[in-house]
Amino acid sequence: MNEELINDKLHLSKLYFKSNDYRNALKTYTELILLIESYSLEDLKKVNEHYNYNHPISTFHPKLISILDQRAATYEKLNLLDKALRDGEKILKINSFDVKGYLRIGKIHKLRNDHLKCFKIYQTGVYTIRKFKEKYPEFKFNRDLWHKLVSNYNEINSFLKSDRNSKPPEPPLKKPRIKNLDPLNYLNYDVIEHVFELLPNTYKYHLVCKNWYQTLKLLRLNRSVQLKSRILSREFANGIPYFKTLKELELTMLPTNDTEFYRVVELIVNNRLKISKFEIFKIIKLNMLFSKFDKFNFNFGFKNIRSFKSYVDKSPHNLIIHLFPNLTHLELIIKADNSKDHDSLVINNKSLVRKLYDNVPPIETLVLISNLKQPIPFLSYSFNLTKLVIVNFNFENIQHKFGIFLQRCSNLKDLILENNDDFSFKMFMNNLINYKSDFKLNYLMFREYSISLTSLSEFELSDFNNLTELTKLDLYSTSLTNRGLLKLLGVTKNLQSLVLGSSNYLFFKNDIINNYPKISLIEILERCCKLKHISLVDLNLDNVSCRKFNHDLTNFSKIGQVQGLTLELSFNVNINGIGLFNLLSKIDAIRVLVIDGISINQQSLQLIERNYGVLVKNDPLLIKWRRFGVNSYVLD
Amino acid sequence: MSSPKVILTSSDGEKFPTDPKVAEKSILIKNMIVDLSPDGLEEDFEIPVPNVRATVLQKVLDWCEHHKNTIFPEDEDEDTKKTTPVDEWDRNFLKVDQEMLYEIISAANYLNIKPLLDAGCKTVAEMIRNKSPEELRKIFNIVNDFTPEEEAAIRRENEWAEDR
Repeated sequence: MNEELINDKLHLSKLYFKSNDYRNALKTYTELILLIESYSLEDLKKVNEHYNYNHPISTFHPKLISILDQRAATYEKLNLLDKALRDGEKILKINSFDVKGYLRIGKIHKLRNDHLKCFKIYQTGVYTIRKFKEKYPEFKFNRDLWHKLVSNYNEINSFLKSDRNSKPPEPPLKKPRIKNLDPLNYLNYDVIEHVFELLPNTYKYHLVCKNWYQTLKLLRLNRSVQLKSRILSREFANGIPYFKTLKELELTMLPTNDTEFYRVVELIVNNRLKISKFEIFKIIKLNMLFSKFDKFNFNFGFKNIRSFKSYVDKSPHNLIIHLFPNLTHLELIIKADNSKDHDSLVINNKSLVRKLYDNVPPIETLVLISNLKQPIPFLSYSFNLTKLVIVNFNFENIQHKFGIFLQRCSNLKDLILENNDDFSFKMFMNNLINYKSDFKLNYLMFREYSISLTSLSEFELSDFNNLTELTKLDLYSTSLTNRGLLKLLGVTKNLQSLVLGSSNYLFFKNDIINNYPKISLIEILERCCKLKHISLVDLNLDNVSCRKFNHDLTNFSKIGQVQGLTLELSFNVNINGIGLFNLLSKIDAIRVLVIDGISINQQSLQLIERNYGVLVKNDPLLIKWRRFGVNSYVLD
Repeated sequence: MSSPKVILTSSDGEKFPTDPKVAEKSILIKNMIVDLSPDGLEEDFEIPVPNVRATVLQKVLDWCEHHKNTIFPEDEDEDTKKTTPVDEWDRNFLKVDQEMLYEIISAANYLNIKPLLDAGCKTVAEMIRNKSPEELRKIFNIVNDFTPEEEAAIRRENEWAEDR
């Protein structure tokens, strides 16, 4: 029997119809009708048995009427009303007691404004079917359709009566209805999808009514969800039906404990959820994680994950790289403890794991942050990175390896090296020279841990090739001397943001008398005239320095132009209100002044804002950024 | 002789002679014209619009008329499209009762007038945005047909979310 095929095709044609693809709907309906019409009487009897369908008067395929009716609806959409009418009549020819046939024919007459014909066919329908119902009371009718026929009949009847009473002609028939203004009842499925694509958190609307609940669950929306931070696996499990309606899932988790976390992992595996971004804000025991994945035969949907971030308990095994064949963003925060309990990695699916090693993901952003000074993982890989962050590692004996690693990153734009042992700016420069690469950095953050001074005197200007397009440079806690800094700034003509601070070798003029050579703001501005942001943090600046800055800015305005500058002078504890007045008097270059970590009289600050039109940001209690610099990646 | 017109016939039989430039805001009509008279219209061309009522069709044509010279950016990325607010004229144009709004949207969908469809959908989305289920029921005259047990079950389904 072809019943399965018929049901499949019927489903398909309904889909075509719903998506306004009427031509294909028509084609499929017609194929179905031809197929059913080829049935012998014997076949039809079998089919009726199969559906347990038994019509007291005639024998026909129980689906044929619906198919004809739906084809008629399709004809209607294509404005082929004659053909639609013919299908309606065909229905009545097969079964003259079918409500759908009468409804369809009536509707077509109505569309043609032939109210009389419409009235007649409804009248015939109501009369014929009433008789039939009396004769076969046990035969089940679709009650809704029958009521619709009766009410349509009454409606057109009263309309024609009012027409006869020569009332002014009314606009076409309109059903009197209780105004349910639910857009989901009025709009097509694809339009509804369009509307809800515009809205976040659609799960919130599940509670409106059953219709909304069911419709919203059918939509396939492209969306990420924000799980609550301390989610329980039970809560996660309840959400799975909703997660499955989403094309992609972005998970950010702060699981309460290991058991809960691995239960969620198990739910992800069992339900084949597609996760594109996975962030775990809890220290994960890496070997345990691997062995769990091993238990699931590494069936985690790793290929969907493009971004992975986690806190891990040890320097990661290379396997973590190979798990995710399409990963572009990897961020690992290593929080190892000193205790030497070596749990070893045991994998059962050895051959599977060996296969994983064939793939190296296209990682573009690599962020590695450690709490202990240890060797950097993954240096043997060739990634073509655009951003690299290395914080708090030990470079001892691996400078050359790091050089080769960087050499391969010809698209590198952002490089952040913070608080690493055995890697000074001078070593970095040597690396760039020895392992020449094409990358041109936009952003360099180089904050040093143990500093030995360097004036960069051994380097030629051409050695700074990778740094000539810098727009942001952060040298908080640098080993550069005044001369070294000015040499470097000499090649960074496009610099817009410069952060200096907490340095042992950089000195600006202040009230203290000593023999150190001094650097002036004008020397910086002359080299980098596009600067919009300058941070001079924790550099023993005082009110005298402020007056010098004022002087420099005044002089610079005669030769160049500096406007809309943000100047940060945080943690220079010897600056007070008087210094700020000195700084701002008679100049208009500064738009924003940041002076965190210093307590300054609030009235003075208000006065400054009023008098000089400068926005002042002052948080005297902010001490967090003093040690490692603003926005440091170093772990507490 | 005046230039040939596209004559649109609404579901209730009203005829709307329309300047082709205006009617072609509908990609459906534009394609029909191109398919059937590739060398441009030589005489009036009648197109039935069987599922749009005259009042709605009039509104839609008003929109097309207003925007006949507007160039809508094509192939914007989805995010920009989603976040661009509805332009002020459109916003006022769509200040109609809900039923009319839905009919305009459906007509725009059928006639394939994407910018009008987008504006309509955004207007409906704004009616829904940040509203509680109770408020939504009020706005759209929807009856809450959940039993308390069903309601509790759905709340459980959403327990994973911080913001419920």
